[in-house]
Amino acid sequence: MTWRSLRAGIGLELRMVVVLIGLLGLRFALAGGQYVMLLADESMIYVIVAVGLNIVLGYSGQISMAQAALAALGGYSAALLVMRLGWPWILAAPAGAALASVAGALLGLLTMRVRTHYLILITVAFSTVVLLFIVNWSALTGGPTGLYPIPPMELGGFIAQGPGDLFYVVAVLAVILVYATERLRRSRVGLAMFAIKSSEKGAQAAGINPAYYRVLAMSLGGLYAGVGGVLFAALIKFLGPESFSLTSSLFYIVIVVLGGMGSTAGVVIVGVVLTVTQQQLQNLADYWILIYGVLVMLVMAVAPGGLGGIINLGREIRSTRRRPFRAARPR
Amino acid sequence: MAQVVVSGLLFGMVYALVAMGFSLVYRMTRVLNFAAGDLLMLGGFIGFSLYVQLRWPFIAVILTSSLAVGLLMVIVDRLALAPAYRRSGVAATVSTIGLAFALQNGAQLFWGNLGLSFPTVFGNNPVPVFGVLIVPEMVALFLIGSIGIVILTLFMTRSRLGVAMRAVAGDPVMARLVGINVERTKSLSFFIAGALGGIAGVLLAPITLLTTTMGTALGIKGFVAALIGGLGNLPGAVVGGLLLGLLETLVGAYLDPSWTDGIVFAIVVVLLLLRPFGIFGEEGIEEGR
Repeated sequence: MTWRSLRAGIGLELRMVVVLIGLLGLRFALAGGQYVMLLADESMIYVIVAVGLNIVLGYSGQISMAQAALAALGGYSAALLVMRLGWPWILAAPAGAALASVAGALLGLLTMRVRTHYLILITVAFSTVVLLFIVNWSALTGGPTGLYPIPPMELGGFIAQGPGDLFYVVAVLAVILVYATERLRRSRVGLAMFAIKSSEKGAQAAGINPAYYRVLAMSLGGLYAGVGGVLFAALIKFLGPESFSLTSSLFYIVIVVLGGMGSTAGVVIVGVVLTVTQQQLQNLADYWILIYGVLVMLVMAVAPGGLGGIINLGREIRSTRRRPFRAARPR
Repeated sequence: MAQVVVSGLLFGMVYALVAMGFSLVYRMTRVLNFAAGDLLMLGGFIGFSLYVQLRWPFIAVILTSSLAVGLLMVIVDRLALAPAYRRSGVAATVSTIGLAFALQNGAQLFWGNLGLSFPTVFGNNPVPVFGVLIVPEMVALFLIGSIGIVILTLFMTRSRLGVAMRAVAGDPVMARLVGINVERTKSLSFFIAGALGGIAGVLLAPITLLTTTMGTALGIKGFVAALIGGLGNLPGAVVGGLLLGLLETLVGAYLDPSWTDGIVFAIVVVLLLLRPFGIFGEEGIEEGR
């Protein structure tokens, strides 16, 4: 391990701790503002689900339209385990997330032998089936009117009554999960995924098994979606089919694309900005979706790296200025 | 039974038209156009304005609406999609998701949030023909759609431009070498997809309620139909569309109607796992991403 890689490694952990402390500081600075807390929790949950999709779409280059449906699966199953079977949250929450992860892996396995479009087809089919289950099986799921009241999350002696209490849980999980994707990106596994994205045949020639890493990416994406869904259930205390439609899956794709496929920082920033502005813009203007749509097209045409691409470009310019002739190193 | 088969096939024409545009664009540019259904929606709404508000004759409405949606797609292609698919098909595919968002919200701003009902043109009352009840509107949809398909097929096989398009689909580098304007043929495929969507939208309008969100489901259905027929294969897209329409009505009539979409998807997924390149698809078209 060279000094530089060691420094980069420690730097990441240090930054994550700083972010966590910053978030907790924010929690106390904003104490009392229920709406602000709700917004903060919501944007962190969106970030969790979006960085999960980033593993699927940004790292391994697979278009999955099931992210919201996987979140629904995680959220509904955890809530139902708590409400109908009386499971404690501390067991139900991981169970929901694990179920979403297994479902994601199964979706990946189904498309192992066939090409990208079939993943789109199968994830759309999965979305449709999950939504139909929610709507049609109303005795279990509450149907179109939704599932409520979901009891507040209870971990040990800690009861998360409002968004202010849940903030701790969401913030810690968000920081850990974002840290994990960033670690993954720099690891052999992450590099293998990026290799598959840029050239499947080239990756195979280098001894990488594309099917294995695709399924792994889908299962991780499902895990993140599941965690997000569970937290969403505990935050809003209500689950309805319209929060998990195909359109919301597309919305996660928008976040990942604008953030820059494969860039953790970009996806996190865009996730927060879009969630907050969406809440604010919804009141101000009814053309915010139009703006998103045009923005997506603009980004794909002009700067396909998204925000992450712009950040990296700036970093590159700075580093070449300092040492003009240093060879480029992988980031 | 005959009743169900006939109405399924008639309605399948809508999917066939979407699927053809979808397949053609994919074959030319490797872009999966997820705004395909929203082109129908737009066609329907433009048709509503021309037919109901301006009282144009129906034939002029169909032509204008398909021309308008086609031209819009050319502009979108030149400005946004072409720069994206020059890099990768996946980038442009994501771009079409943005287009779908923009079209839906744009239509909402222009025509409002409420659904619009298009008045019947050819008649909505079922007429018995050989013991089968047939809605004239559906027959018109099927016939005019068929005319569109015949014209497109003739264009692709008989005209210089159509042959040039197939040449670009086969080998873009070679096509450029023999003097074909590759970019223009790609734009043309978007024009055709838009025009087909415009026609299908106006034809669909009288038998459904026009809403700005109707495109999402239609686009997915068109994609599924194109996959069934083999992505990139135009006759396959027509067969796939008709089959999908048939499958939907059969499932709706004999199994549980509230589960139709789920059952149809399950059948299609199994079908495609058995025959990954669709009914008529060739292996080659799936390669090169």
